[in-house]
Amino acid sequence: MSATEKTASAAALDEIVALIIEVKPGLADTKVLPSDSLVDDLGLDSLDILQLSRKINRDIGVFDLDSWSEAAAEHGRTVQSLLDTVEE
Amino acid sequence: MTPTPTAPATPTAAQETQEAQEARVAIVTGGSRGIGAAICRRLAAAGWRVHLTYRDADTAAKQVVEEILAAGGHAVAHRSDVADEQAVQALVESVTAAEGAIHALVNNAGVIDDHLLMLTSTARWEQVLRVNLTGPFLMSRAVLPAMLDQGWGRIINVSSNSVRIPGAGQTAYAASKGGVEALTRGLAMEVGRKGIRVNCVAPGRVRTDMTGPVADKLGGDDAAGPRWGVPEDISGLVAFLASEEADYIQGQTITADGGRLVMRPRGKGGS
Repeated sequence: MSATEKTASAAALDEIVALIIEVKPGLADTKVLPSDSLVDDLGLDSLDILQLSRKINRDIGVFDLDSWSEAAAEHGRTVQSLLDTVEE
Repeated sequence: MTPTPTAPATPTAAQETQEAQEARVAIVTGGSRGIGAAICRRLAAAGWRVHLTYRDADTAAKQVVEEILAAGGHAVAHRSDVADEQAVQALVESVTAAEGAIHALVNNAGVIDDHLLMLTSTARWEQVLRVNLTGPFLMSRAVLPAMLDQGWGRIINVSSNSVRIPGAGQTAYAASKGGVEALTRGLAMEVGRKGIRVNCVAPGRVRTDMTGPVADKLGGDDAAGPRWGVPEDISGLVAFLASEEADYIQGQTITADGGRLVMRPRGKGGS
């Protein structure tokens, strides 16, 4: 990965993490990692994830919640899986 | 760590003025007549921008809007059917486009079509449930995305005392309103922590166009029981539940019936 790509992916991660914190303000002081599971590690529930998907669609790009949910067994609902799914 | 609960401060006059100035937006279904019209007038008087829906009473809806505008408030009437999924979606999109937000939904629209159960056709049963129960479901589902984005919202459902003391022929109506009360509790549990309050008002006997035929059949005020209510007996309670002050009330059905539920017949004559 080039330095530019690294910067871009770090920025995208920051953007997603900011939205996660908007949905769950209690995570403001938590270090959120790409490998964290939204459900098991960060404690988001189905309504939180619905709300997060709306915010991603509004602020970042197209995010298909249905297909992301269907593939949950493969990607483990990690923060990285959001980054991989969203189409800017 | 469990957060320390903090009580909201008692609103000062300045805060109340500020609240009114922010001009929150409400949709009131079935707002052209009776309780719905009174709710529209009451909310508009409190500074809400009111969008009322009606199914076919063009003249009545126009009259409510004109009254509110003449009093310095804001109101818009929408001809729409809460039982029609596409119409509901179009309505909510239209209000969102015009106002940029929806803060409160009052699910007031309803129908009465009383028949003894054995004489109730499946079509009649389904129509009562469609308007009285599926309508609030469709409307709530349509406004929730906006309320979630805002992190604030009020959904107030209108049920009926007939859930607890139904009259003969009211089985379909009472079942639909019982469903509305269950919907209230279920949805309150789902969305409460997102700043959305979902509550229900259960009026007793209120004289309106819709209850007129029943009222005429039952006669006037009964000396042993409470008087017949008027729409304004209900609208103040709805306005309170829509306000910031109702923040700590969630998933409740509040009866407003003049005391009919708690009164018991006394003596041989029941008086």
